[in-house]
Amino acid sequence: MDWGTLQAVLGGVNKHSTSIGKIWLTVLFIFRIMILVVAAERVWGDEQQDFVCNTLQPGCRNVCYDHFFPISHIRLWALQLIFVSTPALLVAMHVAYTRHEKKRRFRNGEKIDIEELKNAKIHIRGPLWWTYTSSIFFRIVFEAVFMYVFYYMYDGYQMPRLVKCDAWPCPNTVDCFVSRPTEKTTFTIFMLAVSGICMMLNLAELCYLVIKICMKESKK
Amino acid sequence: MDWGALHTILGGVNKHSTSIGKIWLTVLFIFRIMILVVAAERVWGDEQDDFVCNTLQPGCRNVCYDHFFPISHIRLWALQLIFVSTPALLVAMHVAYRRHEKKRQFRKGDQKCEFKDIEEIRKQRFRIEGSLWWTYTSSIFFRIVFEAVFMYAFYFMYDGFRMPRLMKCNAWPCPNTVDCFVSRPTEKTVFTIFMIAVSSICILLNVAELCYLLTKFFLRRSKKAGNSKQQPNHENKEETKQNEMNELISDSCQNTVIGFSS
Repeated sequence: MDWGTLQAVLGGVNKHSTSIGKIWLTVLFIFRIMILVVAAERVWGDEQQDFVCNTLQPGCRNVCYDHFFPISHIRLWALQLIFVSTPALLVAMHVAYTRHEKKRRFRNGEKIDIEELKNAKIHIRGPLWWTYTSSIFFRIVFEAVFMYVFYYMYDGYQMPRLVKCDAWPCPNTVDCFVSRPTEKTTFTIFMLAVSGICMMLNLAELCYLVIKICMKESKK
Repeated sequence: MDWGALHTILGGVNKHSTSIGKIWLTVLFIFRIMILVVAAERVWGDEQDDFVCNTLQPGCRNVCYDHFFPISHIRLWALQLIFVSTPALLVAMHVAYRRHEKKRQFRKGDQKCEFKDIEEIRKQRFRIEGSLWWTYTSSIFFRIVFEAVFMYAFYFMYDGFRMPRLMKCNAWPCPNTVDCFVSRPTEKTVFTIFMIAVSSICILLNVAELCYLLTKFFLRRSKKAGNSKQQPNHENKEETKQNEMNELISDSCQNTVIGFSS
């Protein structure tokens, strides 16, 4: 069960998305998940091994590392990607429920074409519109929350080269040096930028859906 | 044989689950197994390498690590996920047995058999009624029991769900008392609490499913008591029609999402 399986799951949802939704999904998989797996995980791979402190005191390095990196960037991004992908499953559940209802009506003798039922592309109308819109809204909220958590936890988006640590059992104040700070800063800013783009796409999709429904209402 | 294979096996069982069962399966795969594989295993990856003790005594670090971490969290979670997924196989076995019986009837040329060919028997979706209801309900009951047992095991083994930064160890051969420092305690605490929270959500989903099944059972019983004078043939015809429709239309749902497909 890994990113590939998530892709299979979300690929199915893709059929019922708008065009902007499909672009968002592509950006998610290629510029975020793929970058995370092929690049970022290597950069952060040796983060604790190469976190070096200027002391011989056993345990000081562990404690300082834990103090400055409560949750690693990589794990936060993995959680962010999972949470951001999950609202799409609400839409999938709604579509499955709609199909189940049609099946039930067919069973009760109503005349519905079987072929149409099998291949139907369900249009984003009525209650499905509300489900779809709330899923986009939740995506935006999760993206924003994680971006804020990053900012709050690491005091900005820059990875410092040196951190001064005075947690017990470190004697007085100890200098600790982070591994690959520039590369980490680059990737953090990259992931942040792509997060921002995804948020813009979600906002655009939200506006598109709202405008569509308003126009439909005014036509009626 | 890995998590992907388990995913395939349970996906097959999914076809015969209730909606709550399907939600439970999705939560299991996305919020537990996936988090375990992509995140938690990396956090615990260096747990013994970076378990540091303030001593030069050879063997002390090994002994202290073993004393404080009899079974690693990761292994406990893996065991928990396997045990919790397995009761669903009871349901799969029961369904396979029923199919086998229907195939046997078909092969004998039984007039009562309403299927036109083997393919229909293979694709049929069974309703949760009769003996299958009992199997399904006991599988949910076992799931709840396994979840609770593992949550208690975690609590008992690690004195709560928090990972301490420092452990004081005096097991032999450590001289007197030695300070040992755990690697990444905060990150481990965060993930432990996350996994506990998702476990609880899964328990709630299972309890809800159990209540739903019980309610359905009692409603059906009271309906039967009211309709006991209806002719039996009527029920058979309905089931035939329903099975045909299921077979014809079930394909349309298969590719929607893994949690909602066979």
